[in-house]
Amino acid sequence: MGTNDPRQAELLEKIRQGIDSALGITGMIGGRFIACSKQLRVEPGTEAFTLLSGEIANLGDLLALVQEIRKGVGFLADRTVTADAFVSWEKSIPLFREIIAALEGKDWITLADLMQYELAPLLEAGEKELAGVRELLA
Amino acid sequence: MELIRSPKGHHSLRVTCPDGTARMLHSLYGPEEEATALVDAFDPGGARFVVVLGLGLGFHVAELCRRYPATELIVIEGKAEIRDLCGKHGKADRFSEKVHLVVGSSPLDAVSEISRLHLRAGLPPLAVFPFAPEVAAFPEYYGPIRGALDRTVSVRLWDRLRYPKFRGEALTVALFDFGYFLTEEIARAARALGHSVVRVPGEKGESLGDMLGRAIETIAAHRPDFFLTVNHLGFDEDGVLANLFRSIEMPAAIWYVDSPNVVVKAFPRNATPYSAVFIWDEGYLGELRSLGFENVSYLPLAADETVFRRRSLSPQETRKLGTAVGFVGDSMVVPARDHLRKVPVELHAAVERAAHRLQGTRGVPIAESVGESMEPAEREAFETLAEKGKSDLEAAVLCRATLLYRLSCLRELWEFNPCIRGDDGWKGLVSGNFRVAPRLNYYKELPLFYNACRLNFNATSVQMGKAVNQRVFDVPACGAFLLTDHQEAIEALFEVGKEVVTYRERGEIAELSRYYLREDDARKALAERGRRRVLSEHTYRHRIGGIVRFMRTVYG
Repeated sequence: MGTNDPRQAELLEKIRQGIDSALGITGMIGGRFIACSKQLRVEPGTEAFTLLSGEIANLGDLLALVQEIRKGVGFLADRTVTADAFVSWEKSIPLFREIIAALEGKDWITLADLMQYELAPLLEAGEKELAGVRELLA
Repeated sequence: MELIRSPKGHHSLRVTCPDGTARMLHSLYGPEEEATALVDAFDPGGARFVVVLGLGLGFHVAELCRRYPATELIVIEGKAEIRDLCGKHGKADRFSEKVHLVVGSSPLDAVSEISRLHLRAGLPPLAVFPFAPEVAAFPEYYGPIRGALDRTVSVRLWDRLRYPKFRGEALTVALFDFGYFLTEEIARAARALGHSVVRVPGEKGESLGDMLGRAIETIAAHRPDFFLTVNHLGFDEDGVLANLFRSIEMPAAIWYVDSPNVVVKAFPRNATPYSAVFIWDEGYLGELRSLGFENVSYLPLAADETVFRRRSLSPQETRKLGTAVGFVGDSMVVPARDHLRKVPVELHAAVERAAHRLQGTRGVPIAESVGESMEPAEREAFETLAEKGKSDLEAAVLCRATLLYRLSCLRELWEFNPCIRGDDGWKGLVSGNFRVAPRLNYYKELPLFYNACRLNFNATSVQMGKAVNQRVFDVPACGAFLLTDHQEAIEALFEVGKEVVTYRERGEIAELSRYYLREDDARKALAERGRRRVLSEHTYRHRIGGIVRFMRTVYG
């Protein structure tokens, strides 16, 4: 994708950089959530909570970044990237709320299930979506 | 509590915790994979006894059974409802016979039950498997149990209780003390031989836990070389203490000075390689070995020479106690009557016939004597009795036979105005020349009485097939003269006719008594030789020395 508008070009570059950053950490965060869920099932102790708190903060940052990317894509003049390119990321927002609720209720098994069987696959799908978007914006 | 079924068909439980939160106990996506991961993360460290805290729907228990088929799994579950749901919707059908559920007990009772089962298993190394979601959901319940178990594991009690023994010349002997008369004599003798004695007090009827607790405390605090008890006192029917001793390689010497039949038949689980049984009557040796006891030895009774010794009597004591012929013993009227009451009336005549048959013989097994005395109808009625009923009948026969035997012997002494020291039952059996006086205190009065009698007469209980009783040692220890029935065992213990005098038939009693009452010098010389024999071979020091030598040889 190319443009002669310098402001559009700058936005496009920032979106590309944002996507590259998100792609760099999404897989790692997903893997660490799976490790965290295993730890929670066996021994929901201090170690698991510390790991979990860090990953939840990282996930929050990642979701905020993807939101920014999504917003940025909306400002692009070229409409090649459609809104449904971020469908998995949309689903992750209510899931994130469920995770927080399970954490607050100390429902460790539900929390582990959500992370292992819902969140991790969703992040994997979201990663693929981002990669697709990045390709369209190349 | 709510049973949840996932779209994939898996079951889980959602429980409401004391803090009001609702929590899931199993994954709704992969409960079996979850159980596998839980068991993967568990390291039993070689333990063969695992306590599982929390049952849930049993996924993890089934996996533990699969992975550790030889391990005892004690599963603690606070809620009966969870146990029921596990049975209906969980994996209880995959549990092995090694799973023992403890459900609905208080934390304290659960710990006691775990301790009981652990001891019964012989205190093997123990590991704890906390089912994390349930332990986290109910910390008030599982927390104290886990704390108690963690302490047990960290202390590694079974290692502390196992240590090298018989290292020095002077040993430490742990002595069960139930107030039985022989306990004092044993303790004194062991100390006189240079050993330390630690008493482990006990009471009949107290809980097994109390007894075990004291035994373990004694082992941990005093590190005895072995335990010593009389008539298996301190041991339990289920063999829990014996199992513990086997597990920690603690030998126990058990000295039977009464018929072991009732006790050992009820205690088959006590037959372990670490139990050495000493029996005062050789007639029981074969029977004990057939019950599985590997180390069985003959060990006769003895005298405490510090209590039973030659005494100079004051004129007052001589007036009070002095007599030509004295007899000390129970008439058996009361025990014979009490045992007979437990026997069905239609068998009373058979008891009487068996008692008459038995009182004239020695060495005939009681069961044989009873069987041969019965009419066919009586035998049929006897066979319908439970084991307890049969042993009541045999006890009634033994008591009645002893009564008849002693009475017939004593009647041979009527011309000597014998003095009987015993129970009031004698008053209804003898009259005329016989004087019946109250029982005497064993430690304070009996030594004086033996010293005060010119002739001490003895008639052994029918229950003793070959052995000799306590009087055969106590009377000579006093330097007093003994006329006793000729039990087989006496030949190896004394030189008959030179140290003690025996009668083989009741018809000999009067003539022998007449002779030795008349021949003062012969009587006194014979009594003195008997005293020397007791002092050189038949004191409790000799017996305890024998036990110590045996224990050191076998277990040292």
